[in-house]
Amino acid sequence: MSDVRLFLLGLVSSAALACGGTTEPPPAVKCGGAAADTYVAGLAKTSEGGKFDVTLLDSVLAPPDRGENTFTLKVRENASGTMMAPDAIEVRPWMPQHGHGSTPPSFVPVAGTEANSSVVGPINFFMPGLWELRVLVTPAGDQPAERTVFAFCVEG
Amino acid sequence: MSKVSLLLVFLAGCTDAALTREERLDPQSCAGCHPTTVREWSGSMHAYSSVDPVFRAMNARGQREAQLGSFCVKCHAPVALAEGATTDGTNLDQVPAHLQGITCVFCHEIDAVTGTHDAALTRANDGVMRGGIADPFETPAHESQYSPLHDRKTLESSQICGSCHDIVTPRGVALERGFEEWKGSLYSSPSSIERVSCQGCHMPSKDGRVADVEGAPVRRLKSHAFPAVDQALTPFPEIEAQAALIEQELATVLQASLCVYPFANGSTVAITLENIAAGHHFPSGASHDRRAWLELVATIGDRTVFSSGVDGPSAPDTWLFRDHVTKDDGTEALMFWDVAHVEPSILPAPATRDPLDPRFAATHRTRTFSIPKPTPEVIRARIRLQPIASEVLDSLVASGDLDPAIAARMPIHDLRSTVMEWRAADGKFCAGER
Repeated sequence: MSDVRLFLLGLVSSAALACGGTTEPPPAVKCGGAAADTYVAGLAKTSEGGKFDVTLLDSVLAPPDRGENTFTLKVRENASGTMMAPDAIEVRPWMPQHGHGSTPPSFVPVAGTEANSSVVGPINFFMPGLWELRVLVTPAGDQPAERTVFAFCVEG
Repeated sequence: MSKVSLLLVFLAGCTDAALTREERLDPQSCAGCHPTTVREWSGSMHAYSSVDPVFRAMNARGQREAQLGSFCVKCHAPVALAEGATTDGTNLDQVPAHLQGITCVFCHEIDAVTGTHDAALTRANDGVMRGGIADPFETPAHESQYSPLHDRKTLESSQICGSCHDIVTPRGVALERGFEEWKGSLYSSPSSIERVSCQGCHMPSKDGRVADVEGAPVRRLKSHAFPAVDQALTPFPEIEAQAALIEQELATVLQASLCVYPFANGSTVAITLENIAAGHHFPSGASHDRRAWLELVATIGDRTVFSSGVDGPSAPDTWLFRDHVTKDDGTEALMFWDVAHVEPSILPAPATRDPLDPRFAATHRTRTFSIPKPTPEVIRARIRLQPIASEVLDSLVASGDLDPAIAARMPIHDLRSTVMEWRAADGKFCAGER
């Protein structure tokens, strides 16, 4: 691909992200027979009830790996466009094939340096295998939390 | 080896000449091209295995009391034994440093496993370094060969670990059974999505170059620190890093809960434990020497109203996990060669995820404690682990085989995932409940 085409592609991608659009997620990979996400910075998903868009801005380690991982998230309420504060978010790591989580079992993020971002971790992915990052977001008012699941294959 | 000389070896760089047999025997020859790996290994219990003063004390006493011969050194100092530098380990003080421990050449020259315990393996002694990389990078230093026994992705690779980590004593008692425990777990089943080899957990990998050689590709570089439970008690390389890795390893082994249920005359405290990540039972290995126990303290203000396990694992009614071992006459055995009977009291590794399978219940252990009224304000609990029990160490000190100052350094670990606090004021049944 020429430099000019690369530049134009980058421009279009940047514009799409700046306008709040989401890029097509990279294809899933297999992990012990189950589907896992391919990690890229900016990986975005909509919560299971459709209320929120959750974007994984960054991961340290990248891609997520065995050991301590710290994630930076942004969560937007789709109806209002409001960015959700860290205290509305809870993150639970989980190994679905093993039926257990990590220690501690749940994490509440803190505000990140980037505007409207939330940082959560370190989360210990202590075994090789499929790890889910279950992001629970509680809307304002007396409404139930909605879940968004990122799944990563940890080689370890 | 002193820190300065170790540093000089690490700085020596990678050789472009074939290593001689003598050089291959010396781990520091490997450090030129594999500095990260040798540095990790240098702090491991594999490097410490024949230097460990507790091992030396037990071996010295075992030679006197049970004429153990090469029983211990065939795993603890296999290269020294093969090279004729020792026959029974009683002269390990005089054995050169490069033959101490389980060295690079020992593991990487293994070409076959012939049994399930007591060092049942063969070392080719042919200068070919075997590893888990399917297409090894060619080097003039040594020949390289792929070996499924060294490939952490194969379940077969567990055999190489199991051959030394399972011990059947000279009198035929299956004393250390970590490999056997893994074989009975979900992790060893080829059809299980949870399958993972010993190396899969104990040798975590990350992207890196296996050798510091120009052109060497980036691979998954396996850690050679082998953290588990035991650690160096005397000055040794990487001692702080090793201790930190052990704490991290132990931090996630168990899943625990602490719940408090009020009743008419007081409250019932329920502690539930599940072995979620050991891959074998917990504790494992020298389970007859290890002590893991629950410490529980209930308070009102500054006053302790109930406690269990605060005086250590030997106190009556303590919830204790270990192998209870006895002699022929039924009395407790402290030295392994005296053991005639083993009664396990440990947390098994998961063998099933089916809650209706009787084996499922065995992996979830609950103990309840009744506390009379008034209800405590705070209840704290934790699982503690002593790698080698005080009574075993005390016995070795009493027989003159172990320095009491070294015995005093044996750590007690608190398993991070089991450190729990329940507060009545939170209004919840269980600690950590949201």
